[in-house]
Amino acid sequence: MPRFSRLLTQGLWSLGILGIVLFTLFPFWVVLSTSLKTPGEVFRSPATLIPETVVWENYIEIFIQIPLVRHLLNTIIIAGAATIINIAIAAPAAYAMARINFKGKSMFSLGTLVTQMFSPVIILIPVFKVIKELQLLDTYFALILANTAMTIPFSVWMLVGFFRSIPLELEEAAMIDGLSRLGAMLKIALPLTMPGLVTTAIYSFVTAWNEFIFALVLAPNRYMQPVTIALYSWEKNNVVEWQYLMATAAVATVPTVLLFMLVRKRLTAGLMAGAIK
Amino acid sequence: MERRLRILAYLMIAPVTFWLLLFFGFPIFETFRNSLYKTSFLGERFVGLGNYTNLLDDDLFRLVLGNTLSWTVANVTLNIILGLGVALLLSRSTLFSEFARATLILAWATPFVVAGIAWKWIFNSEYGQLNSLLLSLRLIGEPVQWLTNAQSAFTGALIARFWSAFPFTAFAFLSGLQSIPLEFYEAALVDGATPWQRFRLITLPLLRPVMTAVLLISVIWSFNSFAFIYVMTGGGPANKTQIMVTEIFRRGFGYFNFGDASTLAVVAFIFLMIVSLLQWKLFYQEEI
Repeated sequence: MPRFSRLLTQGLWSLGILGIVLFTLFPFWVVLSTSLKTPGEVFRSPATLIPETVVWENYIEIFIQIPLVRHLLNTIIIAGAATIINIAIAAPAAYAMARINFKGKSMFSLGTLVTQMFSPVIILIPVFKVIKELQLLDTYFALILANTAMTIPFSVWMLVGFFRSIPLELEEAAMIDGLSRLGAMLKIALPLTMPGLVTTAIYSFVTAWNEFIFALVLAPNRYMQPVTIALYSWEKNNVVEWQYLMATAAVATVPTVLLFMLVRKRLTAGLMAGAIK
Repeated sequence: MERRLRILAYLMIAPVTFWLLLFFGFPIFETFRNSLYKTSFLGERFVGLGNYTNLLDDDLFRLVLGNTLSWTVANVTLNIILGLGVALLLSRSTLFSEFARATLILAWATPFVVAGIAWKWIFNSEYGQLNSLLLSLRLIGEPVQWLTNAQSAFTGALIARFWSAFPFTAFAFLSGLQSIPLEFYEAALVDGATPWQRFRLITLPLLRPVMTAVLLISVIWSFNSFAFIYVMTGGGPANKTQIMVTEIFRRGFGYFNFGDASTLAVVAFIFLMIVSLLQWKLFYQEEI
């Protein structure tokens, strides 16, 4: 009897996990299967779950019909530059917060905490007005600036957590041996936090990659739009070419998924440090 | 020495401070200022607190406020309860649960816009896969009209957002669960505690800090979640699913009514400030 009940619990347990997996994967299945259909099959009711005729050419068409390479390049430039600036200025700030006592430290940490909670929508109007006034609409510059700002606060908190997780003694020993504070940071702390830096960089890169609201208003010209906005190219006169839209969506998602997979173990730890403690 | 160290610290935080002041300090000030003006085709006219007093008899504002409240509460509740459930299910490290954790990363990494679009298509009443799935499983007799009335549109957006938000919650709870010492459970087993007692008397109390933290961040992220409403319902039908952030966007960039939009932005800002100050008090203050 106990054996039976254990089997039952285990069965229910696995069933629950199966449910989670199916729920999580279902939208991916829909995106992939729709992206491979013919226009005729897309608009069939009820929908087919597996495409009857598989049209791989859809994935070529999306690169021909819209400037998708350009959109992807825009995203890579914007997210890449934002990430580099972000790490370059967030890492020293995080180190100072983790290791040095200074007046105004709690003001500074409160500032970074509050700003990471901001919705872009709240600051969108003034940012739009200034960017427009300076004639910087449709420039990488404006989008890089905005994306850097949105990702900095989180990066600072994540990095503070990573810096705190390395033992203080190593830097202290190095400083007794004659290294300056700055030297201790550059030669000891930074190399040791490399995995943390990579995780933070990937998190901010993916956040910038997924950014949507700033791009919606700061880049009216389609050649400057990142790939998240390019998805809307497939909506013409209220008709949506779903097979192309889904193919583009799949292309836009692959890089972010791969990057998160790379750092998946440390990502939660980093976010817990950043967002929770 | 001490002084030089302090100067070094200030130099290290200077770029971030500058960036935050430029991109948050100045715009917030401007948003406050804009909220005191009326925007029309004639240009901007100073109206003092006029925009704020107007809000009091703005029926749409009241509707949006109510929507935002139910949206946030529903999102947070769903996220916390099911997120914890998922974490408990995945807490035993088996091959299957490792696989499930990997799939959660997929949902987490998916851009919100992509998730919104995918779910919008899934819920399509004529060509969507949900109806076709339910029909083939004989769970429904005829296609259900998802996303067409306010209630189902709201639920649809809620499910879509849950899909992309619960992985983080589950991972947060998972790491919380892992930090509970196993001895506690062993001791409880010796004392003959039932699984429910173990959950109620050990897991829940020890998970409380993580729970509060996830709760607060979940409130903020739900309140801020723009893409799902924007992509899936556009706030419709008849603004019945319009929430604060999408309404600010609509008034600002749909009607270019910057004065009105800024007034709403100030209200949203105050709400977010209150929640993050709470968060600060609870989790960060002592640490600094």
